[in-house]
Amino acid sequence: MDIAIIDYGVGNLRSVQKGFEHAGVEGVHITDDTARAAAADGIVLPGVGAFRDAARNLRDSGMWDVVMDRVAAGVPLLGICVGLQLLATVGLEDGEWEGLGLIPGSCERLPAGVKIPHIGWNTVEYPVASRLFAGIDAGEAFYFVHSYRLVPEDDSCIIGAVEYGVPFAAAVQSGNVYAVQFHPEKSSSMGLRLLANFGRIVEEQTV
Amino acid sequence: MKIFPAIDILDGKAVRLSQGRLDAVTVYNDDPVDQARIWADGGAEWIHVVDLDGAVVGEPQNIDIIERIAAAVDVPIEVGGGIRSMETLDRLCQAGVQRCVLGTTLVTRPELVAEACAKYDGIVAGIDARHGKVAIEGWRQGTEYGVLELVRELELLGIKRVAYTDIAQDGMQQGTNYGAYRALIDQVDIPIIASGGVGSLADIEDLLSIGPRIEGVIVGRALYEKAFTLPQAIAAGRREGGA
Repeated sequence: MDIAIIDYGVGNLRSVQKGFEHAGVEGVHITDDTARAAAADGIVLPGVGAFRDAARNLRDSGMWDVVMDRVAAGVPLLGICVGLQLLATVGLEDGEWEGLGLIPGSCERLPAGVKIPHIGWNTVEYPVASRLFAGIDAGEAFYFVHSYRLVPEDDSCIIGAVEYGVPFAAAVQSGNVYAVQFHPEKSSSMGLRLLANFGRIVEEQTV
Repeated sequence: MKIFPAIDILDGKAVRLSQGRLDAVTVYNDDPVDQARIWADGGAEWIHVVDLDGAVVGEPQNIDIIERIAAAVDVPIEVGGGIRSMETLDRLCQAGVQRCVLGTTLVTRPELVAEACAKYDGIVAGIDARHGKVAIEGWRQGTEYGVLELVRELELLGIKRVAYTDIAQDGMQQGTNYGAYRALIDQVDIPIIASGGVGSLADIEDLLSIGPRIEGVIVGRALYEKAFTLPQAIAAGRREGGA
């Protein structure tokens, strides 16, 4: 099994890789090579910073097309933080920016009245059961750092819900596309379990 | 790998401390601006300035001197010590400072760190550690934070570089905590400026051998004590195989 963490110049790649390592998932590597990423059995799209910069880097690196092609081919994808936000059709951060559109919806700023960015631990509930959260109890806390949130057109993709000013999507799934707004690599043992769950999803898809 | 000659300001003078102790002060130049000119004449590409009075009080005390340094030399300057608010950051940037080093704030006010990184490119996380645990408040207070744990959070807040000082080595000229730097770059993505303990050109070469993600090294006492000259240090930092 071979999971590629996409290096498109945005993100805490080594932290994510070490997270998978600690979770006991083997074969996880960081790559900026489109051919290697395209050959992987699973793809992780990390991301830190602004939507616009991330979207631009993803396009310029050639990884945008890799992600779209491989997702269409059924390869499991895990988006983390800005990697989740990029799945939206449009990002509304300092303008209007095209996203991957894998989860129809927009990426919008957290509401006024709460401290932004949302930094720290927050508890996640599950509107539906999902393989990504297998073995993780409702009400477990995960570590968030973000100023924007994904607002899907159709709430049925939300597999994890959190509240900060407003209730919003902490995790989404559409077919083989999974994504989390929080940082599982910074979320102690439950975060590692989630990474292990993604590893299992990839493994089952591969054999 | 860039060499950052240091100027630590205490009571208006350029000093060095041993292991960060305010009772172990050596005064090297009564005029920090003159010292900045000496480093600039020696070919410095950066000057690292610490407002020690500011670090103790939690608010810069020597902005006038820093402003004069920025006006006196063409070399970009990096400043730390007591920066705990956006107003202070704004003042320093207006005073001609290229990079500001945040310390205590990294632990106590992550929102300010995120805001600062969104506003300015030149925000540096100044992490001072004793036995791998982060110290704050002018090194007087220990925390339970491990260096790696903190750096991982800072990456998420938008921090683009870390100046990592090993307090036990600082001002001792007995070699750097080479292993700690090597271990850290394997775990995180952002580059590191090493600090504390450089006593010889060999120490600079050791850091260089770790690779280009050791972006620079802050050198203090060894330069003041003339263990080697600044041009020699700069040349050592540029040797083959390094950054």
